[in-house]
Amino acid sequence: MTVRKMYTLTLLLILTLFLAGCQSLVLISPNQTSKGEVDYQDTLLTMVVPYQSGGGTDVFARFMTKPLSNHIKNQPSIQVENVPGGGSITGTNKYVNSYSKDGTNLVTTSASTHIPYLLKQSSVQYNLDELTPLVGAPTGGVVYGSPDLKIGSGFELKQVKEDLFFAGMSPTGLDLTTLISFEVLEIDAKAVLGYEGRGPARVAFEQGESNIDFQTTTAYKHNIAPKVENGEAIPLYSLGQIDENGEVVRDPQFPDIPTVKEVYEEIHGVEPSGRVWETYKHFLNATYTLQKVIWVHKSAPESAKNELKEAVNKLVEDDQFKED
Amino acid sequence: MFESAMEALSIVLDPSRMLFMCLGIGLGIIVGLLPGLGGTVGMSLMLPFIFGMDPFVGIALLIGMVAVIHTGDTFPSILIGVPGSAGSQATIMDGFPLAKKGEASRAMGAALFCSMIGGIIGGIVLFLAIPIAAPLITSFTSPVLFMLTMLGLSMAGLLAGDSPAKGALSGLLGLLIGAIGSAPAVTEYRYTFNSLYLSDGLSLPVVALAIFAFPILITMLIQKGSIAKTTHLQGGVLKGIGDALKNKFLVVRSAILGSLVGFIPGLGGSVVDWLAYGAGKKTVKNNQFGEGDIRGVIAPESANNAKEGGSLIPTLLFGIPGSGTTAILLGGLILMGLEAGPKMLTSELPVTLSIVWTLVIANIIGALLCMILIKPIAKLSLIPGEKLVPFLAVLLVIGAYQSNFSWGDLITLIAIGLLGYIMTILDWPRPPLLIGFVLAVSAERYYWISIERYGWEWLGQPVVITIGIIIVILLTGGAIMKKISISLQREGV
Repeated sequence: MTVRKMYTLTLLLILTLFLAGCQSLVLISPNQTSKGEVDYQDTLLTMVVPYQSGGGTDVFARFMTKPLSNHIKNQPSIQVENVPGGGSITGTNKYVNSYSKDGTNLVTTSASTHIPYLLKQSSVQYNLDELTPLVGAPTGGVVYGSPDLKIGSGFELKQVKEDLFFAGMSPTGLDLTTLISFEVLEIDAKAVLGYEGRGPARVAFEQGESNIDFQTTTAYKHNIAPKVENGEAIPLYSLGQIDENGEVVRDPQFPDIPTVKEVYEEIHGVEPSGRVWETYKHFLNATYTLQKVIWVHKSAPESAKNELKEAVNKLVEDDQFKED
Repeated sequence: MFESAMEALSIVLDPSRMLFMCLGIGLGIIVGLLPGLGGTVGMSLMLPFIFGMDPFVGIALLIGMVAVIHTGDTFPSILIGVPGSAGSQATIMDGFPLAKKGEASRAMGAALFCSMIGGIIGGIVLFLAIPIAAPLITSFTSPVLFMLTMLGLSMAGLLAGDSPAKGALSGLLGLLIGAIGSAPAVTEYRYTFNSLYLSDGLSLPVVALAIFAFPILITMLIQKGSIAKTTHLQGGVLKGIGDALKNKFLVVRSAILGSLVGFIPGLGGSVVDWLAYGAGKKTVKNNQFGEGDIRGVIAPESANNAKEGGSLIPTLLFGIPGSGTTAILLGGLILMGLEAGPKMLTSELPVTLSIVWTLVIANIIGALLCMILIKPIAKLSLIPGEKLVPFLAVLLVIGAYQSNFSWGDLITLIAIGLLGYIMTILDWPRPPLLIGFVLAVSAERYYWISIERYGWEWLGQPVVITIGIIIVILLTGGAIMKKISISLQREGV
């Protein structure tokens, strides 16, 4: 009798091990091609995601794997491997340190991976210069205010009488770029930090706990645009995008909303310049224009890098992909 | 609304979707049954398959799984005293003593029945809350949330057992452990010793397993012999259901408490079982909570299934996840082409209603399925402890390692586990430690925000004062009652 129970337990154990195995998606060592020829036949590509499964970056990475694989020769499978922890630093460190640099391992990073690197945090062991970017996805941001501020657009920001409160997460996260934009415009907004994410910060805006806030493109279109129509929120300015010349231009997603730059020019009559402005542009690029990036080791074989780059180029031109 | 609810029901009952729901339920029960694996693991397992699925099918799968985790996780809690997931620890307090008396089946019967009723009430609460959710959620400003975390912490006092001082110290220890990692509002790292693992803070599943499951393994090895002290299992499932029916008000009360706690974003639904247990202890007359009182099983089990319904409100309507599980659910929705937000009430209303129905139906099917399993699984409590330990130890290690896939998880498991063992030897209550741990970050976060935003003004808000008074009554009420009962006892002598 006891023996039978022990069997049941063993079975349970095997089941758990199996479930555990599925989850961690064990690394399978790829077919090493010695002579530079990359054919990716029977190879399994790994996409490292330094975040928990289900987050924005994870969803982006999973979304990209299928179409990306379709454009690589022999259509190898790409499996996502989540290495969470340390606010994405753990996983990215692990990618540069312990994943083989043979062109079969990719990594998807996001703004919160780039900021610690820019701020030179001591725990960062990766150098973005030693990675080759394959494809990047931009996002935008719109700063909006409460109707209580009694202004119609960002151009009137200097006439606000009320105390401005901004609800944010932490001074080193995505909020940083918005906070620098306040510096640029010399807006005296009190940053109340510690909220759990952009979602709770948005609720704080609805509660009146904050009266100036920003959301990234998708969240703005879903949650704030309807409020703008109802007069419950007023778009003030967009954070803009960085163009090829390194200048701030209007966000194609928000062609009707002026950028920080335009607001500054309207208020001061001159173009913004100086250290704060340079910093702003730098961070805008790293956190918005290149919000999510798929990279491969720079020291990976040239042929592999070329194959991947070609695949990405084909992917970007693929009409069906654009529709998605 | 009613018409669309009926329409959603017909969508949910479509055979192909029911099949996926049953698949989800099966997986949910297994994940719940295995100690250490909880909703987060179940969700991550399913996520790769969700991509591009029809939303109704995907939701049947995901919600079916989530709904029954707290049904399945009752087994290990009652039978071997190891929490099946982070949400069923309070069940151990009375369920395990009942199993020791050989009344495992009775406890399981009551627990499963309450899980089912609780889950259904959770679904109803979700349904009723849909039209009024937006104003409700915006009424929880940071000062209110701070006071609610304080209310939760003061519950730790109720669970302290005989010595309030030990309870308070244990709670403070929990707060201290919860403070490890990066601070919520500033880029300060505390007690991390330059280790990246610690910079995220310790994860709840690891701490919960360590503090409750680890000590029991040592105890099993020391004491030898099987868990049930009697050789034949008495008290059937039906007796347990009868117990639950006798305490129907406790069931409903706990379930409503469960859905409310789940609903409040950022309060940490993971301590809901303890809160329900504490509240039950306070309100049930002539109780012997902690020594195998069936009502000590009924209260937390009604609450933990009901929590899921409540916690889906902020998740679906505001995109604010209340737990790790709902955070992954949000990602799953995006993969199916849905976006959480106000649209879930307008154009996507059928999806939202199908979630409500799935919750209700899955809870019923899950509980019935588990009831069939009681008989074979209850025999686990007859196996000698030292033969169970190796299996449990492996499960425990895997469960802990699932959190971050890091060596740190295992070191934490052993370190906190030893702390838990020392606490059991010294007879220090462990629940307050866990409550302190879970609420540490929220308490600090909302206190910080309140001060930053309102200065000291927020102390004057009526809601804040009301909750403050409730806390004072809770804390002093217990002590006064105890004094009265002691003096009465003396007079009796």
